[in-house]
Amino acid sequence: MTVPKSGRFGKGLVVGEPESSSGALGVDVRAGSDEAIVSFETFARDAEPRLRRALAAAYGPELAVELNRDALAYAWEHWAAVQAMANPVGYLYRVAQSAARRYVRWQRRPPLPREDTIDGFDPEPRLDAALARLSRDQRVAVVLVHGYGMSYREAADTLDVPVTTVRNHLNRGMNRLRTILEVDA
Amino acid sequence: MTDTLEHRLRRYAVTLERATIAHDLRVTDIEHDLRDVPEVAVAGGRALPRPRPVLLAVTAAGLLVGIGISVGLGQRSSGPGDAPRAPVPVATASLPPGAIAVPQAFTDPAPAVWDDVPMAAGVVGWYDVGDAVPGRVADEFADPRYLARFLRCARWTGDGRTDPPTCDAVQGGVLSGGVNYRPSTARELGVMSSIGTDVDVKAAAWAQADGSVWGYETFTTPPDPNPFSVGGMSVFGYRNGDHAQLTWQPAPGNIVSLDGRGFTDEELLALVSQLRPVTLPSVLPLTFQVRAPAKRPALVVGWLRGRRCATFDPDHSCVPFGEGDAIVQGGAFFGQVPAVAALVAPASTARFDVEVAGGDHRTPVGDQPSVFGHEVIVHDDERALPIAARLVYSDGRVVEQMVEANQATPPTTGVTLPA
Repeated sequence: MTVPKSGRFGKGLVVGEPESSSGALGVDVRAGSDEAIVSFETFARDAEPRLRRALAAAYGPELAVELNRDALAYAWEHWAAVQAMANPVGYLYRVAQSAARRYVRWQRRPPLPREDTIDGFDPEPRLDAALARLSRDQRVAVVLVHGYGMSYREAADTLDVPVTTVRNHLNRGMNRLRTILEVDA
Repeated sequence: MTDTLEHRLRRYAVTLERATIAHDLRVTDIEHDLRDVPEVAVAGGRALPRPRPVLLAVTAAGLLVGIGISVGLGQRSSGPGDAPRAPVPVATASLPPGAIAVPQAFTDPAPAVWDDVPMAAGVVGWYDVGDAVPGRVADEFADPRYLARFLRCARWTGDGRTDPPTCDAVQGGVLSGGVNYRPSTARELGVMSSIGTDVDVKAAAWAQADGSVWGYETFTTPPDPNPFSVGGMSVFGYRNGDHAQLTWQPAPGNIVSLDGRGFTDEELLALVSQLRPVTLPSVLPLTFQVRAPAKRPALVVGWLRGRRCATFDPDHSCVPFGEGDAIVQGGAFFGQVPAVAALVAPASTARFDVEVAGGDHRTPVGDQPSVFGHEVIVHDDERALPIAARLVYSDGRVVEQMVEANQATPPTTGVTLPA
């Protein structure tokens, strides 16, 4: 068989993933109960980084923080239903996307004192500009897979899309980046 | 070491992560300070979200563990046009008779559970390799709700006017999902299927092999996969180190792929003849998913508690509708709903061209073949601008409407259908 250059593995297979359980945590999920708090905290610790990274890739660090908090607050408010879902993280990403659409459209701004610059966000200017020229879906796929090292499956679950969708966005995004940046690799 | 694009992206992700966390810490500090303030009034009509002790503790704890951040905080411009624009009056327009507004956002916490639709006998499904490979893990199609996301009914029996019809052709799930095996940490196997797709099997093999990610990116056309003959079928394969895929078409409208890590070529080829069909459940909560313009969610139509129902978010609110009702989303006309049977075929070949006009920013949204007869894309995701939609029919008719405006309250008017 053809032996191309080395690549990555991780699409389409369940690797070390726990068996699916539709909310079968066996805990009292009444809002506010101690068990609900514990189960939610456990979920949030796993979900928050993935959600935050996807939102940061899509909307930038400032809006991502707002959307991430809104999504997790929503999850807490509806914890009994959310925890019963097959893919709650993907669901919350879509919650955040809907919030982003309303947020951007009606230009609501967080009520925080503004600073002139973000210290600590000092990306390579050409790369940052090139990423901004990708579609949002392509940018998120590229940053999650090649930036944060997520597998296709992890990225697909976070974004609540099929693995093939991640793959398509990634391929197109990388091709476009290479064209914009005039690089071969 | 060559500074590849992947290396640059990893550095980008590091700086993005630091900046996001730093900003979140700053927000946490401010919310701590504001917790005792009874009311926070904010320009723009959005109050500061009241932090819940649980959420605040989780967020702060998660951010601080193992991370040493010592950066300052600030604002990153999120795009052009930071200053809010003055509201522009929306041109008055009347909704078509019988218009119903389909919720766009999350207003109902209870996820919609679609009625089960009986599946006709003989609908092809997924495959597995039985006991030929040990270590079977959770099947991705075991949960009908998960499965229904990737499937839709392509052909319904009956006219759907009375009892829910039967689905006798399923579409979707292109090489996603399936049955997975993990006999050891060094060996993994996925058996993935697509149903009802009209995809060239070689193109499917290329897509499954991720060729453009694994080093084929300099090719303008994919190299031909290696062909094999198994039981009279043409099977196509790619390999990348210890990872290989075999893809073939066992039946019309059905493509199967074996995706193996740690399996030899001979082992994978032997598994092809071990494949056996795993039929779909006899009922599935399937829906129609109507094609949507770019950046817009698809209109999902299904049966809910015995009534046809439409939504733009299948996990949330659903609005019952009747034949001929008009769908309105966000104050903008989406289209009229024909009979259920007509939903699977285009109702019109009307072409339309919509331009977003406002200030010095023009965004051609593009034209889309219409399912309902005509569709209007009405908003620009990136900016809130006064929008004029220009709708051009294939017979040359041009309709110009103001369909949405930049204002704090949601628009409530729609588009008058041209005569």
